Amino acid sequence: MECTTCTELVRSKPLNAVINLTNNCNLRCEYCFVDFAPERSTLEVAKAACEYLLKDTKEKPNLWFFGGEPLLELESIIKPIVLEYGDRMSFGITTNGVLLNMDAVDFLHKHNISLLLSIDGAAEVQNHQRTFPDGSASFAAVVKNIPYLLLYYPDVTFRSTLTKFSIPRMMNTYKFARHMGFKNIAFCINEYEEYDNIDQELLTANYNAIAREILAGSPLWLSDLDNARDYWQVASAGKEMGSVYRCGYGTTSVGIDVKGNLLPCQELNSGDGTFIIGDVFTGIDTEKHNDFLKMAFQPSDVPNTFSGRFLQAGLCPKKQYADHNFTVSNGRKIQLEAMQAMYGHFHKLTAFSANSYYRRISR
Amino acid sequence: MKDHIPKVHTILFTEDCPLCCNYCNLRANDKWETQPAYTKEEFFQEVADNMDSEILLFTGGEPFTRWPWIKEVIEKYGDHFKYTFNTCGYLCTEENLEFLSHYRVQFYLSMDGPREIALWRRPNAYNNNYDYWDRVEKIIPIILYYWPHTAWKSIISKRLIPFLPKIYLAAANYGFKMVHFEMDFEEQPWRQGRGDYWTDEDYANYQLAVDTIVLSMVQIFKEGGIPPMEMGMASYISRSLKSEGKTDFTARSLNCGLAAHRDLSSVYKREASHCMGEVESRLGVSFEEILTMIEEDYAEGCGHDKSCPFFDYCARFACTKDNYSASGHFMTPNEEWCHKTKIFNGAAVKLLSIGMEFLIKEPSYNEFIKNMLRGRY
Repeated sequence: MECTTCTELVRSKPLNAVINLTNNCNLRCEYCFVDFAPERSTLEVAKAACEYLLKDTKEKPNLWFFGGEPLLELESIIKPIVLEYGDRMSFGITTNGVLLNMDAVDFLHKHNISLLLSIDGAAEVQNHQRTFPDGSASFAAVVKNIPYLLLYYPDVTFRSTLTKFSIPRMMNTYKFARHMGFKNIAFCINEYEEYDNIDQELLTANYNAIAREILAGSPLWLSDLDNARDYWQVASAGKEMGSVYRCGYGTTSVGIDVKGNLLPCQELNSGDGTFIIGDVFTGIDTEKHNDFLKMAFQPSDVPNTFSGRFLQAGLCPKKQYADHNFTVSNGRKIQLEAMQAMYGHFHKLTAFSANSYYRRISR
Repeated sequence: MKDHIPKVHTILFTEDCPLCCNYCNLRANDKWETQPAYTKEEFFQEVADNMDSEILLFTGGEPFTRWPWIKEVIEKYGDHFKYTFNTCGYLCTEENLEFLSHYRVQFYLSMDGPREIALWRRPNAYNNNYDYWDRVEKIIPIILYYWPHTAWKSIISKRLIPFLPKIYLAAANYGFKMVHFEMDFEEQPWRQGRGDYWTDEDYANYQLAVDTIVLSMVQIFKEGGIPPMEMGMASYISRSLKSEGKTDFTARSLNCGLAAHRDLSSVYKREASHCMGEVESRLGVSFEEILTMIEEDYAEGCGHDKSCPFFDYCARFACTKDNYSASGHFMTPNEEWCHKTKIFNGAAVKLLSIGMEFLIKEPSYNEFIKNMLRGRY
């Protein structure tokens, strides 16, 4: 089967890339998908990535630093890259916050580097899920950096991973984030865990409780509501939408591993080269990429109903394809169902235009 | 046996504090939490030994960690003393403030707000709750109700400079009449190692931030209000306007009351000593001789800038003990003080200049000038 959509997409060179600077990390989160091998990228690879993104384009590409913990390479890679390419590119970083001291925040802010903070919750959740390699708690090490971070990044997203342990404590996480002064929170479920009906009920109840808080005027916005709105609109349109349209899968956005190999997604790093579609020195191998996209467009086990389309719009193709053999993970399924239920209530109470307005005034 | 009668007796009787402010001098000090606090008996004895003092200044640590003792002292001595507190307000409650309102009381309220800044500067020491601002915000209206001239005090580090106008406007919104920006000079070696000491660029940015505040003050005057005044600016404006009655400098006219014998007893040194005790023993001279030396140094002028227009102000308001420690000269302050004085006094001059040009018909501005002439705000 020839997929014309894919081949058209492949012809455009990605403008966004997520580069894995290191597989090393100062934390050992219990759900992390990274293999903590001591592999590190190099300045040469990062420079080649920038040159690759800048080649044949008049637009300003974006390079997102990822890991492991990318701030471990702040001095060796991030600073030299930003100083050399900062006027031609934009940058972003996902960090666990342990190394986000005042000097790091000053540097990131001074150079307009976007930031996503990966933190799971208040002390109980954070210390349970995110420990240092020796098993010690990480909460105090992270939370001390938050107030200064928020002075310069008031809109930074508090990204919390949901697990069986943290789902019952979601509301506590939400309140903690609000107390610290965050304005955005996003929940992302750990798809490598199995969840039961009780987890699903708790997840739905907590989502609804958070939505009610927002409707009552809470200044902490739930980014999942934005996502749910998008999926809702796709589902309402009445046709299936492959999730590739959201993340790009090597078309608009590409992953780069520590050696400079190009991947359809930064998380698609199997270590055996299965998903490599090129490298930053020679570019994307169109044939390999096409083959990959054809596989990735295989339909999943989702019916063509409103709920099915909502589900499909919100799926992470990487996790379907690489980790769950084209089926929907139990975790993502219960999260998307809970999000659909939440947005359904929310949608009834406030039309989208009012929703946007509400969000603006709530800030 | 003391050879002087202190006007202000300061008692640093405990290092206990519920907060862990990231600029705290005590916590930067190796002595932190190694000194035993006063026992209740020692505390009461200290007060009884200083009955001649006019003012008792309770400091710490956080003095309200020993609220039952303080209450007992006040109930016992009543209006014999004026009681002042160096406090962060964390442990103040409606009840103890109501109690204090019946006596002669003054607060030095160190807050570092608004909330987002207090979260950074004033983390909670023991429970990681970061709840300082949520608690203190509730007692601000009560404090301002009973003590409307209480100043909003913020310790300004170089990283806070961009937020200075925001801090000022927050103080205005909460209804403060006075703000006090104390510069955190990052004197401790561990801080210098962090590279946080001030540079010329920082001082230039500080000047810009203070100038922005002056513009905010002008705006508030234009809208018919009286803006909160920075304490350094207020004292300079007041002194500038009161051309009559200006006195010649003597060591006894130092603003700090050094010559009126301010003294301190603390967990570090329980025997009360005045500020110049250390200098006295180092030079082997008497207190009276030090006063003479201060006046001689005044006659010589400032070691930084003999033509500085703010010298007389500096001479009266700078800490002579710190000056001597920094330069060996009682009238030559350290560079930080020098910068600070030039910034705030310069801002005061700018405010008066703008006022003469644009605010002279504003009733609120005229009321402000009248208050300044009366030496109060």
